[in-house]
Amino acid sequence: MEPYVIVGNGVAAVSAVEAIRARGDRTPIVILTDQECAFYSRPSLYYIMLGRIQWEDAWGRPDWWYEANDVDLRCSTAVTKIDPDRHTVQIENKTDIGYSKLLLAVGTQGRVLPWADQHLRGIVTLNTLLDVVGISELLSTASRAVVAGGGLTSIELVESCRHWGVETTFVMRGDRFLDKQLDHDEAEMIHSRLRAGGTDVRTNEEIAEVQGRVGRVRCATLREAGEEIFCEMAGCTVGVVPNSDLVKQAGGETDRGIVTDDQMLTTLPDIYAAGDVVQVRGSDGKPTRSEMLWYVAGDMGRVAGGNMAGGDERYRRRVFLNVSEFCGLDFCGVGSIVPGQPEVEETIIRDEERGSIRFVTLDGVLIGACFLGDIRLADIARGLIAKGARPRDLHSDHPLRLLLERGSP
Amino acid sequence: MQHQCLARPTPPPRRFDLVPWLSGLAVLSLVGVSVVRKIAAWAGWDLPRNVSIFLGDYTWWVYWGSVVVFGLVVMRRWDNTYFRWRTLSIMVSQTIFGILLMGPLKQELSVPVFWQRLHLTWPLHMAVVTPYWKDKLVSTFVYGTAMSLFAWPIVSMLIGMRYCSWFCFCGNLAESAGDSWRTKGPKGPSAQALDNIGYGILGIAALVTGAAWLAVTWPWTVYDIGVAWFLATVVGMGAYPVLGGRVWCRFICPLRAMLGWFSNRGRFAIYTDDHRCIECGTCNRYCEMGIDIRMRARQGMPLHDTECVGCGACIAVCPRYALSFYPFPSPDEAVEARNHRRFRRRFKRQLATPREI
Ligand SMILES: Cc1cc2nc3c(=O)[nH]c(=O)nc-3n(C[C@H](O)[C@H](O)[C@H](O)COP(=O)(O)OP(=O)(O)OC[C@H]3O[C@@H](n4cnc5c(N)ncnc54)[C@H](O)[C@@H]3O)c2cc1C
Ligand code: SF4
Ligand code: SF4
Ligand code: SF4
Repeated sequence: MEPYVIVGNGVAAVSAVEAIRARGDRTPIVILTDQECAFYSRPSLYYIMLGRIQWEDAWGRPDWWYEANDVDLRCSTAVTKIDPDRHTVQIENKTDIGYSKLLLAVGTQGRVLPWADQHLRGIVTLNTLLDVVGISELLSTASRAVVAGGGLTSIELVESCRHWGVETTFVMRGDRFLDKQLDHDEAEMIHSRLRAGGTDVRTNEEIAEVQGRVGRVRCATLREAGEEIFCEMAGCTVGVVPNSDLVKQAGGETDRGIVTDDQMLTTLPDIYAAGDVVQVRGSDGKPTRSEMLWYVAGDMGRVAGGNMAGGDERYRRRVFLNVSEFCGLDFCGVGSIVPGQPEVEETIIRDEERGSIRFVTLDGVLIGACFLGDIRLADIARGLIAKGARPRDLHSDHPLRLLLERGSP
Repeated sequence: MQHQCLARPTPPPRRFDLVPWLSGLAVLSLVGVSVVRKIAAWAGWDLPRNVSIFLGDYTWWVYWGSVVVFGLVVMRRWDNTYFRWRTLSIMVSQTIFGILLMGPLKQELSVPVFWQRLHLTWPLHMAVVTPYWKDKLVSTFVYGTAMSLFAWPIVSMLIGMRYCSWFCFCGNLAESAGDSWRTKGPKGPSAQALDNIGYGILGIAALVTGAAWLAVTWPWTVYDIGVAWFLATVVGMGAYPVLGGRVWCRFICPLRAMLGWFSNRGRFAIYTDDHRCIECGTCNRYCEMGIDIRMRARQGMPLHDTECVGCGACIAVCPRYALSFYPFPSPDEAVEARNHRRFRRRFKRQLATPREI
């Protein structure tokens, strides 16, 4: 019998394997990945650069796991084409590999700006373990760096530079850091902490070009200020693009990512997709925004694997929760916290020293909470959001209600 | 397969650390002295009296000194409230039991026999449940039996194996002097397969105790040398720098096996949150008992393994606060916290981020 083929070796793929085996399905599995090495934890890359965790720990599964689960792992094997009619995938050297069911867990890749698309030592992104190897080598000798982008990955790179004592210019196109999750004052808190730590934060600014000399980055030019900044490293972390080309070429439905139903089945027969690359079709038939989180990719992988092994599982979105840590502040975003949504009401408790908490309610129902600094009430907020609770109906002694009314729990 | 591709990331510069060398020296010297004393006793050497007194005192004072000195190092090194309280409890308990009640000062302080035997627990200290201590029937024999077979198991069911990380000599040395090698505990299924040897030893200990009641003493002698001395002291402590401080505890200790059985069936657990876990594997690295915490955290399942000694290291190192001794708070409990004192206390603890427990 033809094996199950899984493209990609991220958390979605690994979860799918575990779900398939948990259902007692012993069909052989082939994992094809263009990664040079086995599965590792991508969010840990930040902590590896900070020296908080050891890179050996980030290997998600030990070698014996692949053997025990009867997985044939083929590293450095990019898939170039899929043929849904003949049920084959084609790998780089033009060999065809047949599958009975195919799972695409191909994830995303960093968006590349024109200036980053040149071969210079010192132009980096932060996406893979190899990037981390390169970055930490650069940082151990460099003295100045420029990082472009305004998202979590960008600040992870900036924090790494700070940790290694490299002076950094943080250039973002928007008017503030993490503008999809933080409001002005919250972002300002981060900016001022970054500035206090010696990082040069430039908002409403972008990098026009990066020049090199003898194959190395030498300086970056800012578009608005027209200023030239000498630097040995230029980081490009300006968002990600889902790897949806394989499906697009084969004629399946794609939006930004690959569109699937809630069983993780694409519009092509016997082809499933899971992880960051997926946009699940919502109840209105339109593809929803993908969340790009670790546990979400795991959930999707489990559902896809269960269905490949003959189950009938459906993916249910859980309340968004993401934890991170930068500038000595813990950050936790729960639910929908985009600032400036129409018709929502925001309650903000703020303290320059200790951080800020922002609750978002829509028609009295709690829909989001953004914690910066003190993240202890995050789990309770998540529970309330999942239940669709109204803070007004909470018990008058409920810590969350006290926080809302008095500003302290 | 995994490591084929990679040059490793350059780690940030590290400074030379004296602590492992000093603590290694202290622990290995303890093993050395123990070996000398055992051989001398065996061969019937007649050591000069002051030498043998010196060796005995050396053991006590270096043991206690290691616990206190390296305990202080641990308290400095670990930025974690639970860790600090636990280490303080280790230092206090070893000062009271190790030095004042049982150690070199017991003559000077004329400590009564009952107090000397206060925290001895079967099967680690076999004499507790044997006919040899019938002399003090109520004060030590009945008390010792009750503590070993009832009190500690109940405590383990309620708050986990606190005996191990708060009182026991062996564990306390591991948690203070052995802290530098915390990450060396063997991992993976082949090591885990050996985890249950302790139950075998527990069975043997029960047989030896039974034999002692029937006045058969040779199994006692064999057990004393083979398990209580060779495995516990020579192997257990000698292996600190290579296999971590808890080799004996994890693979062989019969008391761990017994209390673990109860702890596993009790209320104690380490709670995990799969929203937060990023499978970085740091918890596994720091667990001396080789438990696969990451797997549990990834599934969001609470962990109550028989091996977990409640040291709290996994909780302290998790970069995402994904682990906790208390269930992650739910909104309903927040309301219940209003009326019931019981809930209020638990709730306050739940709210503390794991690093601050
Ligand atoms: C720096 C960084 C920090 C992050 N931090 C967090 C965080 O704090 N919290 C959080 O929840 N999430 C975080 N994420 C996101 C998280 O890592 C992703 O959600 C998760 O890794 C998605 O897993 P996946 O399996 O969908 O895809 P990926 O892990 O991206 O795996 C994709 C796989 O597909 C392979 N592949 C792609 N194309 C092909 C092809 N044509 N042929 C063969 N193989 C192919 C790739 O080699 C790779 O193995 C972070 C991501 C990054 C990069
Ligand atoms: S496992 Fe045994 S030797 Fe180790 S601390 Fe616990 S009781 Fe003591
Ligand atoms: S240390 Fe925390 S985040 Fe890392 S694997 Fe363990 S539970 Fe998950
Ligand atoms: S699971 Fe955690 S608390 Fe238990 S022994 Fe391991 S590190 Fe210690």
